[in-house]
Amino acid sequence: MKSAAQNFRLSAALRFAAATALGAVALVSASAHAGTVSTEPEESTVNSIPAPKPSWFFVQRGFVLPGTAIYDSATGKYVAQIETATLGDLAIDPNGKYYYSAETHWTRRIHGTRQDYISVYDSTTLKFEGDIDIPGRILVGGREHNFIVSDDGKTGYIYNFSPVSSVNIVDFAKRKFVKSFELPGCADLILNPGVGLAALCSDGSLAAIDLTGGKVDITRTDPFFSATTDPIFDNVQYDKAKGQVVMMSYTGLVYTAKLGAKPTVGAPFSLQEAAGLRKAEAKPLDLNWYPGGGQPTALHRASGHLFVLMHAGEYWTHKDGASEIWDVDLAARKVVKRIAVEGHPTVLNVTQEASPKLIVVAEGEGQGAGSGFAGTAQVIDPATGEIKHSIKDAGSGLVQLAN
Amino acid sequence: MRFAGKMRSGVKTAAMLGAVAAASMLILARGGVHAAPAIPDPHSVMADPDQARIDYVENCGGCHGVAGDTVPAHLPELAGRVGWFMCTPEARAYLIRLPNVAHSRIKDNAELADMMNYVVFVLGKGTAPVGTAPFTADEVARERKLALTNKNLTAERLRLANQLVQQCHAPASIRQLYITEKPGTAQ
Ligand code: HEC
Repeated sequence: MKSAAQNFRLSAALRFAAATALGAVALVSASAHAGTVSTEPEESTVNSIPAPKPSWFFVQRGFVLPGTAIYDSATGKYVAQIETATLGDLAIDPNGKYYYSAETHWTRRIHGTRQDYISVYDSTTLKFEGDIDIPGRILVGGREHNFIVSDDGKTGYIYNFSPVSSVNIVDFAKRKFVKSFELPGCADLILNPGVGLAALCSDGSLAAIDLTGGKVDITRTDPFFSATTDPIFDNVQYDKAKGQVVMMSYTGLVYTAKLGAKPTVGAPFSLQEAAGLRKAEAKPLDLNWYPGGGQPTALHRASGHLFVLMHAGEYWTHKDGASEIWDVDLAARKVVKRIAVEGHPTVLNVTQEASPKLIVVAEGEGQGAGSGFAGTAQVIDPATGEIKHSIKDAGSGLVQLAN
Repeated sequence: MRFAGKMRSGVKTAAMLGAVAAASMLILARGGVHAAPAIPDPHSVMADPDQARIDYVENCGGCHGVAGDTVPAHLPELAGRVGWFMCTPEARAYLIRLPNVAHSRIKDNAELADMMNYVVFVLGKGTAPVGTAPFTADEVARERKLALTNKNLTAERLRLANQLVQQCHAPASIRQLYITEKPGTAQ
């Protein structure tokens, strides 16, 4: 904890909250009378917000714009903004008490001493509570699996790539960095209950990372995908209740792995075949429907439905925005619905409510794909395909949820 | 396109080899750290030196730099140093077992052997002991199956570097990631 920095950050956070929490700020001040100088100090108050709700979604403003906006999918209304940094990563405390922002800064903007840390914010006041210094982190941002929190909320895992591949472990209860360990040849951290972590590796395997002993033990499954010709999207879907992870390859192969000390990967199925179409090939110029975007899949865990951003195109167009969302019943291995979408969204998530809502975000117009400009977010009812809410300039980055 | 690219890089490789020879003579003159510059004729250690260099630039240059000298950074400087690792069987195997090498997109073992010979003999600038046998496809096929996936590579590198200093009289600075690195700052 750094107290000098804390004071500065605290007031900055308050100012920011005051400026941005729409309608949440009640400025209590007497209006100045002409000719008289009021000596009354101006008083202002700041509202608080509830702990995160299942209907809320968190949109990173953009790839290069700081801040994460909170919206409520029930109302389409803005709730507040969390002060995440450019190329930062947000993690949400599963107990709903804190927001954690992993950030990197140099003492002199782009040179000087590099500082990596996690800023802790109270979830109801958005007050800055302090920093936890860490030795480093991958400077990417906009990915879901570089900063994850254990299911009990006690431990944070931050992927680092210096470019030595490693993981930092942080104790959130003590607000202290614990240790780091090297993870050669793997990335994309996934929780692995009772074991520690899992990760995807460059030889096409899934690693099990045993953190229960003094020495970190890393074992790998047999390779099951090709990181060269048909990689797996980094936004794999972790399902604690089922103890599994659902993964999507660039050509639309859906893999499910049972987590544990020795993870097992089941035989994949083809998304296109699940929709009654020809299976896509990892071959140049193969025309088909492909998954694509920065966050192309989302799992509604209770129902076992996987939603996927799909576009018609060639092999190796995995960043292209979607013209449809496919609703996949994982147990039946069938695409049960194809929902048309506007604006070529590249980012997708689904709320975990009993009647889920899809959230899609398309990057802003003007500078082309990858510009990171804020675009429109839409809340879609997957049952009907109806657009419930459309929010302009919402963001372009990741959409995260509290649960 | 590919053809033109190859022609151009062929010219550069030749120019570079000249520079390499000059640089290693400088090293000799400065400290006599090595008995003799051992830069074999590229064609004696690579089937296709141009392709080997192209493969290195494309697959490795992003981190290590096109000349193997991206420092200061948290990774080892290859230029004028990496050949030392050919001195013991363990250190030699380490070069192929590194995940970035073992799990390279280059699946063809002969092509990967060529590229690693480019790294060791060309970028290494005469640091490989005289008479060092080049990597072969068979050796690469065998060692890349033993990728170092459950180890702290920083510690493993230091262990091997100590071996090189003790057994091969490599300069003590081989323990560091690059010559000007302050000891103990590598993560
Ligand atoms: C992502 C960045 C990155 C890429 C890409 C990469 N390397 Fe490395 N390399 C490293 C790091 C970091 C180390 C130190 C060991 C470690 O932690 O992996 C290293 C170590 C080495 C070493 C050992 C040198 C020594 O002094 O210990 C060699 C040789 C090497 N790399 C060659 C290659 C080759 C050949 C390629 C291309 C196939 C390659 N590297 C690609 C980052 C990279």
